[in-house]
Amino acid sequence: MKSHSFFRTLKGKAALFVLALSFIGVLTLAGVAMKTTRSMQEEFQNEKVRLIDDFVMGTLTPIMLAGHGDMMSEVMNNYKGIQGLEKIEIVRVNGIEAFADGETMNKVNGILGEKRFSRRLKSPRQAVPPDDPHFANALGTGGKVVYTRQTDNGKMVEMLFPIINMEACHGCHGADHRIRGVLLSTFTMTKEDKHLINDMLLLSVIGFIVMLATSFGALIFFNTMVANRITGIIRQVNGIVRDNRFDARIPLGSSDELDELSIAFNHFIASVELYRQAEEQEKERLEATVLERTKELREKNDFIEADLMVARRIQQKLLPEKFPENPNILFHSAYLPCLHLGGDYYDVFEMPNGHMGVFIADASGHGSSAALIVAIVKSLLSTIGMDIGSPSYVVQRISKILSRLTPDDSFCTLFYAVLNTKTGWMAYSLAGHPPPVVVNRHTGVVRLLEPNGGLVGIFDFDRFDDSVFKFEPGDRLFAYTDGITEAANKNRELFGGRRLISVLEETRGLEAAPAIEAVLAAMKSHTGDEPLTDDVALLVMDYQSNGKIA
Amino acid sequence: MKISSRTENGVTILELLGNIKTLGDMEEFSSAIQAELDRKNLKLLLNFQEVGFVNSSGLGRLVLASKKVSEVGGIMKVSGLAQDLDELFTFTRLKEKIAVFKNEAEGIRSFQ
Repeated sequence: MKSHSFFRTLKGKAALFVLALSFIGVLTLAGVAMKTTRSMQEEFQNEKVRLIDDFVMGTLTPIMLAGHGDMMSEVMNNYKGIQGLEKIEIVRVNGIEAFADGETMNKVNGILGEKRFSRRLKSPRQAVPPDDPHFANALGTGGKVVYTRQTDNGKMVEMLFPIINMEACHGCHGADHRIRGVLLSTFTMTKEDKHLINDMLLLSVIGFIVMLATSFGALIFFNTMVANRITGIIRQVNGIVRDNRFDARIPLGSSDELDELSIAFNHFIASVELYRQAEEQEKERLEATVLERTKELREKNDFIEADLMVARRIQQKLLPEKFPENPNILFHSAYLPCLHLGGDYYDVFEMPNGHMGVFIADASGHGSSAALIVAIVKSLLSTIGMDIGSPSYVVQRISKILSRLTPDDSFCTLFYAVLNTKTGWMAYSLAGHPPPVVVNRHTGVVRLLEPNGGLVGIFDFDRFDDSVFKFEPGDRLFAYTDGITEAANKNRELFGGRRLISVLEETRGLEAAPAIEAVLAAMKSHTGDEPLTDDVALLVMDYQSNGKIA
Repeated sequence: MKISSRTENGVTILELLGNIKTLGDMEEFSSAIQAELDRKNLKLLLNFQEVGFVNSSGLGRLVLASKKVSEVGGIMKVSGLAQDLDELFTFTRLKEKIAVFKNEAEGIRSFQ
């Protein structure tokens, strides 16, 4: 509102309206005054023309007809009956005889019905101006001519009456010419006439001022009674909205249309108040519902959490609590599930004739689905693996059963080896699993086991073979799941097999447990604060190299 | 991940961008393969040039996709494996079931 121009407000529009009205009023009054003045001037002029005409025709002509033409001058000079009359004179055309006795004068007074002339005067006479068109017109037509002439004293009205030499006059003036002279009458507007016109103009100005005052009065009334009250209503509505006081109402009092507007606003504000209350109630209801649902979810989550903890303890039971003791062999391990339940599994178990089974597996995925696969693998290994047979045979059996029990895209990778603890010979099946690393702790020579099998548990991909490997004294076997090599830092760079081998070479002098700790520390150093995305299982077997090597 | 499809010399090339790691990635991958099979595009070449990482679940989806394509008489091949992925394909013996090519051009030529 404040940013708008003043003339866009009601007050501004009203002011513009008053200004326009005043302008039109001025023009109208000026026009009327001018027209009236002009009409009055014309009327005054016509009235004088009529009076002079009457005087000439009613007074002078009878005198002239009575044969007392010389008396006309005196009559004219003494006639004061017309205001503004400057002069009446005879402009001579031809010579005229003067009458000179008192009898004639009395005759004239008798004609006029009143005594106007007391003595005989010879009127001044002058000749007709030779080139004046008005005189020419009067002499030519023989009729009356009226015209105006601008002089130094203002506009003058002149009248010309040709003096006809009638038959009655022929005795005195002869019959040879008809027009003997011209009667010239001149008059101007009198002071009284001008005052009247000035009064008229003054009246117009007063009328204009009264109209202007009335308009501005109406404007002030409008501003006070309408615009200011509307502004007040707007201010109150804005205040209610700004201060969030929807329980407030706009005060009433004048019982006019603006009060009706205020009532309409009050109804609207009341509706908003009702809506807000309903909204508030709905919000409270929703919050209560959310709290209730949250509580239910928390309870369910707590239940699931507790259930998972139980499952985790069960799964931990699947892992070997301790490794078989053997003078030539020492095992150590670590297991870091990324969720409550892991999909990795390892085991070491004694077999007949001094043999030992070594097993590490990684189920696809992680969490509960992978844990179930692990449980199945553990169960199958417990029943199948204890039989003497080639590792590939055991893996083949596990794969066949697993492919029937699990979804099409679920599988596991595993390393299963049967080790002759006395000779150091090992037969193994490396099925889709990252190749274990063998580092000789004395020489630092690194060897990788050869993969010889596909993914376990996927039909058509389950062809497995056996390979053999001969451990030398000081060899350290490091089997792992891909959770460690695929541990990524924030730049998505993997820890990787090469970095792992490098750490294994560097830590070959350490005993198994601190070596594993060093590997995990290196992984952690690589990943930083990034969480594990897969389970990590590490299984270390030292062959004839117990203890620390300098 | 993002997967775009185009055809060249009768071979449908699926360019994979990103990792096959999350459930969403796997669903997207499986849907893309199924869409090509629905369109009777049976010569598929998966371009792994822009793939950084495939976890074990992703590997499972890849194997499953290969089996599905074979079941309808199609062939699925792979090109552009990074070194890590190439090693993964090696020790899981996937290379014995899924043909792997160094680059896309070699992969396309292998279908001729």
